[in-house]
Amino acid sequence: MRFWRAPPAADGEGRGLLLVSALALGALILASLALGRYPLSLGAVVETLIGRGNGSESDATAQTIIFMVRLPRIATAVMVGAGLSIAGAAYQTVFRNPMASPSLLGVSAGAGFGASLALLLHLPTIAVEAAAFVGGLAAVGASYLAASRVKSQSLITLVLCGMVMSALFQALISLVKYVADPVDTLATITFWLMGSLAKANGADAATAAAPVVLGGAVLFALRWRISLLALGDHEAAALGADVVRLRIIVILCATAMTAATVCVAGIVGWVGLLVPHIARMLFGMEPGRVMVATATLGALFVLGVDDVARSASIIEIPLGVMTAVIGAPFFLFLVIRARSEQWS
Amino acid sequence: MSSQLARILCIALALLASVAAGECRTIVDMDGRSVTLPEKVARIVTVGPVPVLNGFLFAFGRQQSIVNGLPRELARKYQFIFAPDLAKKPILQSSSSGLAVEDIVGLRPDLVLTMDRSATDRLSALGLPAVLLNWREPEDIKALMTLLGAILDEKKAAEDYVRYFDEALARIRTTLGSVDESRRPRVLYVNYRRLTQPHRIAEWWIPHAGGRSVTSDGRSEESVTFSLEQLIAWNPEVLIVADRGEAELVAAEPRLRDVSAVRSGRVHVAPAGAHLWANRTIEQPLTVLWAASIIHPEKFSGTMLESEMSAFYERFFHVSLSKEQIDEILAGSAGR
Repeated sequence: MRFWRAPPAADGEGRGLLLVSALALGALILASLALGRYPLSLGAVVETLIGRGNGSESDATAQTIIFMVRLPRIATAVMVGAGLSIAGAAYQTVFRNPMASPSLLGVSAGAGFGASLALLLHLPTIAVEAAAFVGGLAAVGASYLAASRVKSQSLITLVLCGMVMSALFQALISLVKYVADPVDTLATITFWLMGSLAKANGADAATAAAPVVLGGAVLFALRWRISLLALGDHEAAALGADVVRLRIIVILCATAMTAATVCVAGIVGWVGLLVPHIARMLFGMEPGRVMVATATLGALFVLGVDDVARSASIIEIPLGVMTAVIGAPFFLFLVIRARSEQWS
Repeated sequence: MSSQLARILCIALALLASVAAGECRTIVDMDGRSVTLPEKVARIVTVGPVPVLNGFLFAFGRQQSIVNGLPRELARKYQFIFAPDLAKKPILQSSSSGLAVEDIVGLRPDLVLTMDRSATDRLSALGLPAVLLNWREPEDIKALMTLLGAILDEKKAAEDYVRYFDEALARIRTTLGSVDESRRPRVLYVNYRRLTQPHRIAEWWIPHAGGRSVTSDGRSEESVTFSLEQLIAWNPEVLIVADRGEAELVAAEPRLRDVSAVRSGRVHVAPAGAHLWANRTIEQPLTVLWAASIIHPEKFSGTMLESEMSAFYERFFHVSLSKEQIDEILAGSAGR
């Protein structure tokens, strides 16, 4: 199947573009360190970074701001962006469906349910993350099973089943909130589900980074075999791929990455749907290149949006709201441009 | 012309007669709607921000008139200390299932007090005597209490509260003296878990207590949410949090260690009486005095605040509090 018409990007050209986007990400990370509500000049940022402060009190605050506030938040945003985008691309490949994404498959809602249940039972942080993973896995499994029971070739079937699962898990989240102690647990669950990077610290960055880096590495190592899945099960098997095992590994990795982002940032939509499409449009289909590009563009997108969210005004705008406001119309534009025959 | 005059006279006489017979009367609520109420209001339902509305009734010593209980998520200890019977009353609303309108009708209230328009419309449509109390601007509380005084036939008590409100603020103003803008400490009232300044009224009581609220930007929205970095950039000299749990979170947060209020131990928990003092509550004059005592401790002593509290709850709620209870109110909500 074809996702988008791949541009005839010559190898050299693609590599050049990749270098440009990697440099852009590096530049944005540096610029983000200088952005924020606490007034710090670029010079002060650089001095703090290379550890040449004058030991004054304002210097100590600058260190706190750079190393404990901005850096963890930037790292978390990068991990959330890269994680959701790679996961989205992986789901799209493994289900051979351009509309698959963590939100549309119900993974985000499933992870949200798992985590709220763990919070309801007062389980420790690590268990909350594990529960998010199991919930996400249950949602994607149920969506896929339901879709395969519907004897239809339409790409919409999986998306519809995913939306059904998403609705089901949202309802289960409401149920958890309903039985939660209103004075104690309910508030915790509600704030947590709203999701925000406003308080992201080193622990959040690590929580997001471990599954995203590990899952990303596994997917990258398997990139050629995974790309065979896009040809269809028979063709992939004929070319020597263990289709079932491969599919399970991809789903496990993508779901772990999604669950990790849900744990630190709540349910952030549209990134996993939008970014893989843009990456394919710009970088073609070569698996390794498009995967690196997906991660880079995802990180650029979420980091850029979060920069606006945290520094545009006193008011902190929720991340999920901003990605939806930008992502939804942009995705519609892509769909219209891509012409409908590719979406049968 | 004269026939018209005669008709008006007739109507007026008829109205007077009905009032005299103890049947009913019509009042105009703070949203401009006319509501017909029985002459004697004995059974009152409070809908929406129940603790806030109950507080108004406590100030008339009318705890016994409230026929509904407290929704679990709004229940606070001191509501039950001021009105012990509340624990036995039916709960008519919850955040998940909304209003139990059938139960409200079943209670046959003489008066339903609300603070929002949609609930008032809904209850009025069912023929319930719903009265909307509006508290947008800080001093609306005076008009609110005057209206409630007229409704409950407690005009004197209402006048007493309004007088107290003005006098208490004037006393604080006098003690405070003129404070230079530059000598006013930067104050932040925050719900730390949400990183939100939740109520616009704090932009009123902080300057009245001689502080400078860092979130004061003339906004019309109730709340403002910001980032941790913004909090550090404001570098408040006095930090007021919503409950004791939040004070612990602030103390344990390494990123806040350079914030002036944290360094100098000026992180305070907002007291919780009939309602959270930092939000809209009948206890607002006490809020200002308490805030003044933490912002300018050199001018306002703790004993001054405690005796004022004791006098306030005695005079308006008709409840005398022990020293332990006063300390407990000042210690704030235990948190979540």
